[in-house]
Amino acid sequence: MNAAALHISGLSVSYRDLTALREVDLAIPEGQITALIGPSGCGKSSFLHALNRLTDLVPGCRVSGSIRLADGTEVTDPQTDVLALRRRVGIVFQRPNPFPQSIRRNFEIPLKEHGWAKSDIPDRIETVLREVGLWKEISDRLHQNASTLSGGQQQRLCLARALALEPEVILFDEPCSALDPLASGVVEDLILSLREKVTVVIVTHHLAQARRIADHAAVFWTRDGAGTLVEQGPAERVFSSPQDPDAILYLNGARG
Amino acid sequence: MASSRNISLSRCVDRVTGGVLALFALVSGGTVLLLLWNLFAGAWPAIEAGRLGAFFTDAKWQPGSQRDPQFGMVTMLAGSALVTVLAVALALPVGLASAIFHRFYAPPLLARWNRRIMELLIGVPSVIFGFWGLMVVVPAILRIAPGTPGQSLLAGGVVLALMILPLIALTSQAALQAVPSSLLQAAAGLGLGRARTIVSVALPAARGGITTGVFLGLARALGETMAVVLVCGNIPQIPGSLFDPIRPITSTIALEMGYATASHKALLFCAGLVLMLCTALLVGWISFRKNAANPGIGGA
Repeated sequence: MNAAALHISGLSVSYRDLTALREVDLAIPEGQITALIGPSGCGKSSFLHALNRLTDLVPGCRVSGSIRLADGTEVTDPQTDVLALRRRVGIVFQRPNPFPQSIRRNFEIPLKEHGWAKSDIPDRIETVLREVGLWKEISDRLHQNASTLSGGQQQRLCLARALALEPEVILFDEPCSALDPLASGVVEDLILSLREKVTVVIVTHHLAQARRIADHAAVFWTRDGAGTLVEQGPAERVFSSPQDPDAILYLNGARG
Repeated sequence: MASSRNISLSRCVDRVTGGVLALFALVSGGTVLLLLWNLFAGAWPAIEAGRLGAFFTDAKWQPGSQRDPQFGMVTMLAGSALVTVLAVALALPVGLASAIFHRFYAPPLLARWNRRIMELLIGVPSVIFGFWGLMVVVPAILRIAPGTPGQSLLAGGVVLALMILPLIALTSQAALQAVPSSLLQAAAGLGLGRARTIVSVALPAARGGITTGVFLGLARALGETMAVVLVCGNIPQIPGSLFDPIRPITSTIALEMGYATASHKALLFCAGLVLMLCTALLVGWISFRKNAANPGIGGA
């Protein structure tokens, strides 16, 4: 059993009067792929965004409970350096969101901010673009605006941009739902290739995808007006013999 | 039968409405053409007499002089250009800073008031600004640089800067507000600090809107008359320093049109034409940019 990259206990997220997520306990195993599944509005995204404090950006959002990184850093502690935290816990969003500037600038901005030496940046860009299979496609047009790339390329660029900062954990927030099936497959393969190198937490509505890539699965469900975790464990076990009645119906495609 | 008659009646009403609306649209568009035509007609005697060259070759502007009439407009063109650029140079940093504060730093209540005050400032009549310039700015300049006339390029620049400040601040605010939240999320997700997010992500994304604000400010400052008549000193000369008086084109027209006769009048019309042309170029550039810019942000 691998150690936990993230140790979550008693995590609740609320937006003003609305509780989005209640009392979640979950250990995210290091170097593996953990898929968060469940119907819309059951708190998966709130959970994901709490992991690197993107919830801070939402006015009126309150997070309580504990999220510990492998080295013991407490994510929810207001004293924690949130910028350094987000370097260690990166994220790829649902819609590709490259900065509408040159492809090169998309890497230079975050790398400079996190103290990479200027001379190391070109190598770093090449390494991560190779990792996501974009190097051959775009190495001769790094000066071009990133928004001229196709949707799938943009999403791979965003993944490369996140990887460039050498994170320990990468969060994926439905990374394929805005892509066509072909591009979606490419991104899925890339996520699989990250196994053992980084810890992956992925929110997906796509059950078949979760089944294909996940080592661990966590099923979220709405109970008493708030999202909560109803089932978790090794993906194989969760998909083949779920215990929770709602999870059983959901995974069989009957509900949600 | 009844229903088909109804249809033809409603078609008829629709046609008449369309026609009336087209007529009004034509009137509002035609006004500009009429204005241009009148300007051109007024300027024609000077153009026909070949005086246009004198605009740029004569050294001085003394159209009323019996002994040595001269029609050099260069001093006034320079005056207009300098005071306009100075105004934008002063207003841009302040307006931009205000917009950044409004978008990224101010608590909501303060942001709302900041915006209201800017909107109020836009509505202040220009003669009030001129008056204020005369009462406050000119004496302040006299304290800084005793022995100068006070009414000067600097005074004009400061007063105009204040007039176009809200224009630049509000357009910049709108541009920053329009930066897609997905970009700000991307910046946050990469652990960029607030300063880096503003400088490297938000400002580049808002650049088009901010530039539009600058051009609007240029056009407004270039055309402003009342305030500059009061504070610029009105001496047609190329200023040697910020403290020298100048006389922009607008002031010249306003001051001299009342008593100008025949050929002098035609020259003032020419000056007006030049001014109109400059403004048209600025406005044209703004709409050109609007159409050309924005290659599309994000998305597939």
